[in-house]
Amino acid sequence: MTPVFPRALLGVAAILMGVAAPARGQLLASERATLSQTVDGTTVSVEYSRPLMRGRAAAFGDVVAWDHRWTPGANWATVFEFDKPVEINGTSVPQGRWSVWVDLSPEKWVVILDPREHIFHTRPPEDGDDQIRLAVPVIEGPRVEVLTFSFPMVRADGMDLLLQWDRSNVLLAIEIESTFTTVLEPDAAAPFPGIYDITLSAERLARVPPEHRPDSIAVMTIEYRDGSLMGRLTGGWWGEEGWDFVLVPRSATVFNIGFVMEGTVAEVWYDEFVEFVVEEGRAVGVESRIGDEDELDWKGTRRH
Amino acid sequence: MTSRRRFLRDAPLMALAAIVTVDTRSLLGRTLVGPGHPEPRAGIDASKVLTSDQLVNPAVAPIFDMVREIPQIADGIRCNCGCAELEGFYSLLSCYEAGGMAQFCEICQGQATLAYRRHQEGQTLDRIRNAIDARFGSAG
Repeated sequence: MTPVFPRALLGVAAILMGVAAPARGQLLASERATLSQTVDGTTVSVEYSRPLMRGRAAAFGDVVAWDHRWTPGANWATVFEFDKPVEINGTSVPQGRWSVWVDLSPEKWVVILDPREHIFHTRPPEDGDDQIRLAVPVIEGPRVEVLTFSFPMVRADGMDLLLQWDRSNVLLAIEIESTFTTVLEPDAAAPFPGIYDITLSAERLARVPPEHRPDSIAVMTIEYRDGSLMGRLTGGWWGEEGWDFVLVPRSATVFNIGFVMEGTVAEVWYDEFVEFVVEEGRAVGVESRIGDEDELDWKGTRRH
Repeated sequence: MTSRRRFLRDAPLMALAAIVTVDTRSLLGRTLVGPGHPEPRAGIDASKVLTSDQLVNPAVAPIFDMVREIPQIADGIRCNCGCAELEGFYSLLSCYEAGGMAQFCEICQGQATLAYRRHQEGQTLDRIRNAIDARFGSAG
């Protein structure tokens, strides 16, 4: 019969050695990474492990077999977390944490969000009704050694989440629930369309070096189009090329500016307020006020 | 609890406030929460605005001094910090009287500072109200 006492001693010794051993980091294959992006109060987070190519010929069809359910990462399944409901590539996704899987084939990839997390990569979940499936195009690009998630584009109403490994790129267009609207009823919009001559305020000009001070008056054009007040600023401080914006209503005569790029609102400048002076139902002037100090930035009068 | 007599007296005003609120909502195409701004009371003055020696937080005395200069403006502005829902609170001016809630509230202070600055620039009450709504109003 094996004596118990010596075994117990060994166990105690093992525990003591573990406690006494100095704590140190452990170099893992496929180290862990996290990233997150917040837009307009909605935060999207990604937790994943980052495998390397390590000299292998191809990530897909070699490291990761085709016709295989794979988590875009390594070790424990990649997790997406949404703290509010979002839409991904047009599909609604409730808030919460989701393990991420991809059904891979040379013809197409299907991203699968599964409500269960802490799943090891070797045990992908079976199909289930509580999963969300997204067919995604795969775009070829420059070779990327380490599997990488990033947010290459941020907009006022969402963000792009990009997955890159080897030469494969998958883009997820994430749309959030915006807290702002640009929609205005015709009666509410009526006072504002027109052309305004704009000059920088004396306070703003005082901070601009003489050689950079604009030598021309800028022109702001406001139109009511598709239910929103669309604007364009050209000349003066803003240059001849100008830029486009939409007015985001904050009160009956005060707006924030939404910078428009490629037809969408890229950013809303909540720290700048465009205030119209309205007389007898028609805007006769406009001012831009900035920051906590409510500083006058530029002002204008209606041309016609 | 309010008395039946006071309720019957105030009911038409409350109904009017609800109509004004609905009109404002539809006008902007989005929801604004809460009623609009009050009308300044005839004869209102700054006699009840707390003086610096009455303040627990003397650092905000300059803002109380600002309100002391513009009681008729402050009385035409709704405070958006929630104290407007309290019994006895009529306007932003109320926040600077009685218990002096404004000494502990950044919204009360911000609204008063903005109102004072704009009044100094010669802006009308309506324009000041719009500027305050844009910065301190709630939207849902």
